[in-house]
Amino acid sequence: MNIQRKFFWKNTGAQLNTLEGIIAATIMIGVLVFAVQATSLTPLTSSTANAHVETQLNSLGQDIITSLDHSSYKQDSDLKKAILAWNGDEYVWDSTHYVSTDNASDTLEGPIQEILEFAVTENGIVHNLGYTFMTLDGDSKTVYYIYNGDPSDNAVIISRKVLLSNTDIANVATFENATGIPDVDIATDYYNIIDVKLTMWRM
Amino acid sequence: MKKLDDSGQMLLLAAFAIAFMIVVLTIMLNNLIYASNVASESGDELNYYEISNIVQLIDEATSAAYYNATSDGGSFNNAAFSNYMNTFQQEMAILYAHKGISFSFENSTFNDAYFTQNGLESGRDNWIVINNVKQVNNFTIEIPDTSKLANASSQFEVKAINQSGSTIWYMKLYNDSTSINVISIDQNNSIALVPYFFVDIMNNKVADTAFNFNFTSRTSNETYRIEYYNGSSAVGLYSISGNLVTNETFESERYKVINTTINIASGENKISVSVPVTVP
Repeated sequence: MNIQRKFFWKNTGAQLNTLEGIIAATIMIGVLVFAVQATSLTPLTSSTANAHVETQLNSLGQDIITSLDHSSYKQDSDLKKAILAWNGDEYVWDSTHYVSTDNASDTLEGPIQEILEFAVTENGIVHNLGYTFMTLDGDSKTVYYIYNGDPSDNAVIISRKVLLSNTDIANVATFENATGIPDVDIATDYYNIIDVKLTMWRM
Repeated sequence: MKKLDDSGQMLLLAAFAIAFMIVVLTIMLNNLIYASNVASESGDELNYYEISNIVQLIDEATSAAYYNATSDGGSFNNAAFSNYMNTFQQEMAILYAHKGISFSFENSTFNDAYFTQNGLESGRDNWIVINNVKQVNNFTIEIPDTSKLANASSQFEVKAINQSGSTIWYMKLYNDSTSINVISIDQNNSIALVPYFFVDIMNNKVADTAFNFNFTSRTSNETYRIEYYNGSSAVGLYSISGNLVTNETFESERYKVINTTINIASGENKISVSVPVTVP
């Protein structure tokens, strides 16, 4: 009996085995915790802040602007016609129409409205459409055709330049008063270059 | 002999090995995600959309400047053309300077255009001029220098082809060194060789001589396209206008061709491309 008791209390092999097992388990758990915290799989990885989403928006916007600026047989494109027919009003999307901020009964119609409603608004993509041009002072100025708010940090901007000549405009003075886009060279038929910027972002 | 019991040490060793493997896999996964995010970010360099936009702008500017230089019906006003293009170049240079890109272009002189797709002799010979035509109101072809009209082995042809692919109307022109030969679907004729040659298809005239083209009767109630064949066999001008099947009007004209060389340079890239622009 005494010999068995001594053997029991003096045999430390099992205690060492147990200790090594606990340490091994602790190392495994610690590594797993480190691995989970260190990966780039954050809650925002596949959200609107992801670069892939921005790339998709950029491709969509390029397709929209390119198709609007396409013209057959050297006719004016739909984008150019929309700029020439613009009355200077700013439009906002009210969930059913693009409504003028100056006149609630004035709704936007035409190729721009159709393509944006089909490809952008129905997919929950917020957007602005602005026109940037040079002023007589040599500065650049931006006016908005469609404005739905300030873009987020992950917004994409697609730009396309459109050339205006005096012969394109029915009444130069009326056009300049309505839109604020000036004739930068009255000595020639050159009017201005409009940098059309489509800004898109996801809420 | 003391019995060795190293099972606990083996367990510890296995734990270290598994831990090391997990850390390596985690680092590789992180690099994968980081690399894919970096690759999808866009840079500030010109993309192909912008380059196609620049070509389109130069085409429109050249056409607008040419129209401005010929709008009074008199001779070509070179000063008006140059002033327009200079203003256009200055404004474009300013716009692209804001993006850190140097922009400039140079125009060659105006040349007579071939009836190829781009107006150059090396351009595509066989091409569609207008598609989905419902009605043509005006169709004229001028050959200012008949010595540049090819012979019978390479006749310049104009065809109207319907949606079934059948040729419903055609006209062929060639120079046999003694006369200009006009062959249409309903009539053939030879005109004594003259330096300047004019064809008015809708008014049935060839060089002030009546000629029965029958274009309207042959193409009525048809939807067709107008094609040129062997465009490099003739140098001259053409003007076609009418209505498409969508009831939109169309107008396609060509008087001259000019070669424009566009130079675009950024911090890392430089592009120099020559583009033929037809006017008007």
